[in-house]
Amino acid sequence: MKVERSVDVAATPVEAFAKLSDVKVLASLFTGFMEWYPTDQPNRFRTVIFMGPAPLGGEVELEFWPESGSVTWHNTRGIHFLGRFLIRRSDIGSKVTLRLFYHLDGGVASRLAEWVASIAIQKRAEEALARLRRSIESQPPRKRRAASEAA
Amino acid sequence: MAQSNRKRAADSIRSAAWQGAASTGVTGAPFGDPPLSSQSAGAASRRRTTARRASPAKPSTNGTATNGARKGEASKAVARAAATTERTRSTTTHHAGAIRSTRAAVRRPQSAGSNGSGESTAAREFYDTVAEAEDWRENPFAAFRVGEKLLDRIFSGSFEQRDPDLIREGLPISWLMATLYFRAKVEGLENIPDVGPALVVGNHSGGNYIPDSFILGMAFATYFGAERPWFALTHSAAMAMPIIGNLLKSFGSIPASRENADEALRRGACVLVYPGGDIETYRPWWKRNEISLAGRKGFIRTALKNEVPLVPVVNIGSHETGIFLSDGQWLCKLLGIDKSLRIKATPIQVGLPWGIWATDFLPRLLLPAKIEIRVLPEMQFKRTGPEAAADDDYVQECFDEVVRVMQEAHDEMAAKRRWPIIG
Repeated sequence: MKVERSVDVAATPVEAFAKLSDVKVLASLFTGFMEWYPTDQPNRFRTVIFMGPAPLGGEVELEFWPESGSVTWHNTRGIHFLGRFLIRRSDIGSKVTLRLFYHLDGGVASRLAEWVASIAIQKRAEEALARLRRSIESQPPRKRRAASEAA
Repeated sequence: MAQSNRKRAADSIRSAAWQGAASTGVTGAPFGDPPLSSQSAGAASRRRTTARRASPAKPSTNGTATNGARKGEASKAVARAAATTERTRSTTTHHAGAIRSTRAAVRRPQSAGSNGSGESTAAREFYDTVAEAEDWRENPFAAFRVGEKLLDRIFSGSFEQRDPDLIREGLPISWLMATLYFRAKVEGLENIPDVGPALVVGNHSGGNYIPDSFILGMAFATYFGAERPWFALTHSAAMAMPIIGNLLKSFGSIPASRENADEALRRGACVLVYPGGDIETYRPWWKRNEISLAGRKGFIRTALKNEVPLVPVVNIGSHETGIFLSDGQWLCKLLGIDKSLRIKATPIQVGLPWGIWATDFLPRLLLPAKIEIRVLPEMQFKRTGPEAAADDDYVQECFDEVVRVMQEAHDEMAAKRRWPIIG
């Protein structure tokens, strides 16, 4: 199952990418939906997804691709899961797209479960993008530029 | 003859493998672990093994060793049956020829592969069992042996029967049921240690359909992954059900006994136990908010002896999926099944589609009650170890503490519920 949502942000792609490069910011976007806990390895995080009756545990590997404007994480443990922020230039500044792919094993019931889960996941994806926009646009342009240069 | 040759070949291969394993220093079982057993089935099995070892084996006509005592017993019983019954049979009399003809009658059907590769292991075991029973229609002792063997097969199992892939594939349907039908909520899973063994102790609710167990098992698998070993100590009656029993074994159920719990913990697994068992799960509707572990303190001894964390789990709402009027302990005593089948309670309940009925083996409509499960922080005991486990007063003290903690948590959850079933 694939869930995709986009938002336009009044910042350059470099600035948007610099924001998403901060793991703390990235984790805060999914507050209430997914929690990230550091592990011994710098790019791996233990995750807990709050979806349905019981939390879903897992571990993800995070990758940054500044060349393609992409921040990706995929599961190394737990349910099959891939998330991606894709940053592209737009008229306003940048268009940030959040894509969430997930898959459950188990025939027809799994398709139904994926569909039921997608209702809540779509809402969570919209919330995450709204938080990202607020987070970027609330920062003065000068600070944003400094942050992007530092990144 | 072909069958006995196959058996001899299999025996020699097995024997060579064991010897090879011993010579290479392998201490564990090369073909997986020894079978599990419930207390009763294990004891029965041990009794039979001892009796067979004590009786000398004599060679049969075709050269293979057979159990002399069993043969003799069967022949005597056949003779007794022949002497006491007046039945006339046109086909045969009660002698060795009759035994052979009965064996021929129960001979396995020809499968696709002439060497037996086309038939399942279960089918092969079944035909072997029936074939070994010889003239079971005439000999009551042989019939009992068939029953014993079948029961042994039902009760036996292996830790390797738990199938992580089946569990993972079963998660979506249990997730859907938990989400849409029971509106379930599980919290506090982080209180279970991330690694290593733990004894998870819960209050059992909901009769035979145990929605609480399924939801907790599902939550454990979604949180820690299906690969992490999780075993649930399960009543022998549930394990004995033909299809459900096998399914339960695949989902990690093992017969409830202290030996099995010890072994599972030794292997580093999390073990779920409902000490209240059938008595608690059939408790009357008006006692649904009471924690009743039926005074069974074995789980405390197990946790202390193995020095593993004891994690209490409390659920509410699961007992509202059925309306039990009585736990029927008196009925079990009256029928004598409390001793013979270890069934201490059988409920009298009201619901759909049967109205009012006894037992919980018939399919029934589970009420869509909101189920909440809370995993509590692990219990801290002052002393652990075998000495502490042998101290009755200390065990009683620990038991009371566990019940108190669970009851407090249950009361807190019950206070938040406005209506039964609705939540």
